[in-house]
Amino acid sequence: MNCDLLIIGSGPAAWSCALTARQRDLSVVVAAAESATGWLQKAERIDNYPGMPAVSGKDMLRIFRQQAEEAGAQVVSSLARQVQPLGDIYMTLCGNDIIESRAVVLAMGAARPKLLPGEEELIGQGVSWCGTCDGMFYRGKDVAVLSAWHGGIEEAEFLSRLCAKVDYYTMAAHDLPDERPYALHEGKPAELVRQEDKIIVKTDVSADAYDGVFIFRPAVSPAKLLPGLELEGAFIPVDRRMATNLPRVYAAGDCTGQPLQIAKAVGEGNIAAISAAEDLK
Amino acid sequence: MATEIKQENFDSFIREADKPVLVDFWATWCGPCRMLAPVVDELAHENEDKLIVGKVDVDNCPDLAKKFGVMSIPTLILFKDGQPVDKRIGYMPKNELEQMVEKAF
Repeated sequence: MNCDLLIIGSGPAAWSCALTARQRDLSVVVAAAESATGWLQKAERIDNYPGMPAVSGKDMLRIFRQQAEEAGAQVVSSLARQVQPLGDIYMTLCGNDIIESRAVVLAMGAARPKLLPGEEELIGQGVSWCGTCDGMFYRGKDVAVLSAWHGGIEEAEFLSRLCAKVDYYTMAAHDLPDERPYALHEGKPAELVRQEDKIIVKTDVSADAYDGVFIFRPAVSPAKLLPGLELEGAFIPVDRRMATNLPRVYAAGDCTGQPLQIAKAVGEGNIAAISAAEDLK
Repeated sequence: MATEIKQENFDSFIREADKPVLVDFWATWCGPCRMLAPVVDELAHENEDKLIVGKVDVDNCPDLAKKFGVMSIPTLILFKDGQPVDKRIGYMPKNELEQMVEKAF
């Protein structure tokens, strides 16, 4: 899939950016891995956004998205996991698909994944962040899925077709289907430990051994998403054009820092789109 | 461009190499592998006088994956004088990849 502008995010900055970019005639894809646990999704009532008095967060996001889609923005609902420059374009891995774009806007909010103790050290040694990539190495074996969002459900279903046993651990509340080919595990994962050729998933109430552990979250840290991107603490520094330190990469919304306000995010998304349109002329 | 290596010619490919060999363990269905592939190809092109680059499709060569403890893809293994000297898991930006292979020159 190719486009002029890829926008990573599903909040006010992303939709505002998509709308303006479409008005500037850019082809736009929004990688909108919506998380039901996002704070705006849960906001019951917002009173400081002009023109939408007493709107719920859910309704606001629906209206923003609808307007961007009606303007011609294409939406993919998968998580952007990796961005890399290649010549004059950027390649972005969304879910398991690659999107090529001439410019990228980072608008993925301020949420940062908190890794479990032991997780990063055990990647590639029984712990994986990609079910479709690594599932085959665990054919006929026992695995655990540790998921902080609904994105883990599809992966658990995929793994259930390959593995002897799949246990599903919930790291943050999300809805699960009634019929499941995997077993729900009660505990909340606290730590991963390697013991001989097994990985032990320790929770507050249990410690179970698996051949493999797959972990899914609705967010990727900016440093992992785009190597070489300059950061200031948890946030992405930008200039007044919303440009980052990388060419044709912009950032907007909560990921650029305080204040974490909807109106500010919408404004920054608008500026990022205008800057991208200028730079892609 | 990276050379496709098969189960049957892997040992001779590594043994007979007169330069360090970087092997990319990958699969067609793996998104991160498809992200890494053009970076590996670029590295192969830029270092063709001092580095040999090969690719192993783990789908066709499960025994090779097992032999080298590949449990996650993409995995890159660097061989020098026939022996594995470095192993990296997951996507890597080009500068990290360059640092990895430079140690073998």
